[in-house]
Amino acid sequence: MNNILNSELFLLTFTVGVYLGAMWLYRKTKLMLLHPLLTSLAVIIIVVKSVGIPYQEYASATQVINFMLGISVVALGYLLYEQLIHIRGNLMAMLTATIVGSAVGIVSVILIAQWLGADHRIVASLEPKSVTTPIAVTVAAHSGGIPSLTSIVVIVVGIFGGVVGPLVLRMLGIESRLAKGLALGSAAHAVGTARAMELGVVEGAVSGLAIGLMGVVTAILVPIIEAIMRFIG
Amino acid sequence: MYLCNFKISLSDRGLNFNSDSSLLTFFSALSLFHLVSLSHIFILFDMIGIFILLFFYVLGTVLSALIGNFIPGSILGMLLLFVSLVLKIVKPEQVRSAVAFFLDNMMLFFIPLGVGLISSYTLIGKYLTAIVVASLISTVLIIAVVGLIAQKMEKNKP
Repeated sequence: MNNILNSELFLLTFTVGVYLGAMWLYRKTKLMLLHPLLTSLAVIIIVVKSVGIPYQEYASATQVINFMLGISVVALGYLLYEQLIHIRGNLMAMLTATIVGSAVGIVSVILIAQWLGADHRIVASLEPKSVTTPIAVTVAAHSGGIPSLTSIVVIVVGIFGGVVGPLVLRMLGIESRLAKGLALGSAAHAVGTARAMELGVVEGAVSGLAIGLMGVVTAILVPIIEAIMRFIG
Repeated sequence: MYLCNFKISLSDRGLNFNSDSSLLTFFSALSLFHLVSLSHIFILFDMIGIFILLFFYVLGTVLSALIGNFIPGSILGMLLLFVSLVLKIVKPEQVRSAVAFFLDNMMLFFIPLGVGLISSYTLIGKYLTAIVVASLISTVLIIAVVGLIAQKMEKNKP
């Protein structure tokens, strides 16, 4: 019996099954806190832990799924292409805002986390926190972070950004629909975009584009900023 | 053996399928029919699209190795696919169905990495305050900076 539970086939089937169940639950309840990734992770971790399967074993059994992550990051290139029409002559505004925003996000999270005593692996996990999960975990793994931490932080940041985002924008007196959409998408990825769609069609569309822009810009900026920070000391 | 039986049964019915070439045409027509009848599967899982995505993944990985693994290969693959779409080297409809499959089910693909929490939760627990405070402050900063710059620089109001 234990042999079957440890087998690749079982772990793969189990993982896909739990994922489908979590998706169903999320669609049914529409509760942010029941985010399918959070619930699937909770269920799988509890089961894997109580059966006593080492993580290494689980990871090698689900390698196929992990490989798909790389392909879906490549697939995001298509999404970026489709959303290109929303730039409409505002390329410079959007690029400048995302580049500066991304740099401020990376530098601030590094400085605050280091100041509060976090070690390198934690800091590296937080650097890409505002980016859509596939890009974030790829960047975190690449710069020596803990991808599992990143995946959870990204969701929490998304929910937080979606909730406080419109508030912050109102306090700063930001009226522009483009600015609102861009800010929500670049700080809170898909969750921010969902919020931006509630504000309006333009906000939603720009926000979708911001997810892609922020992802690309952050993936390029993280290694550069890391190198500069190392150089400064 | 099979082919032989087939030939006999065809000639039994008075059909003229004796020459090899006509037999070949018949078989290719048969296989074509087979493809058509299975087309609903291909719509869901387009192999050309999968190949293009894999191809750009490989290309990105090679490029990443060339620049000393500075940027992950899959990210470079994404950029190369984007550029190829803009330059019309790749047609959008060639990848659309494969992209839909991967993006629709993206949440599943994070799970193996996420379960890694099992082996790192003590470390995370130790620095929980730093993680939460840094992430939340930084998020507010991004919203403010991006919003202010975009509003200031915007030209074509949508």
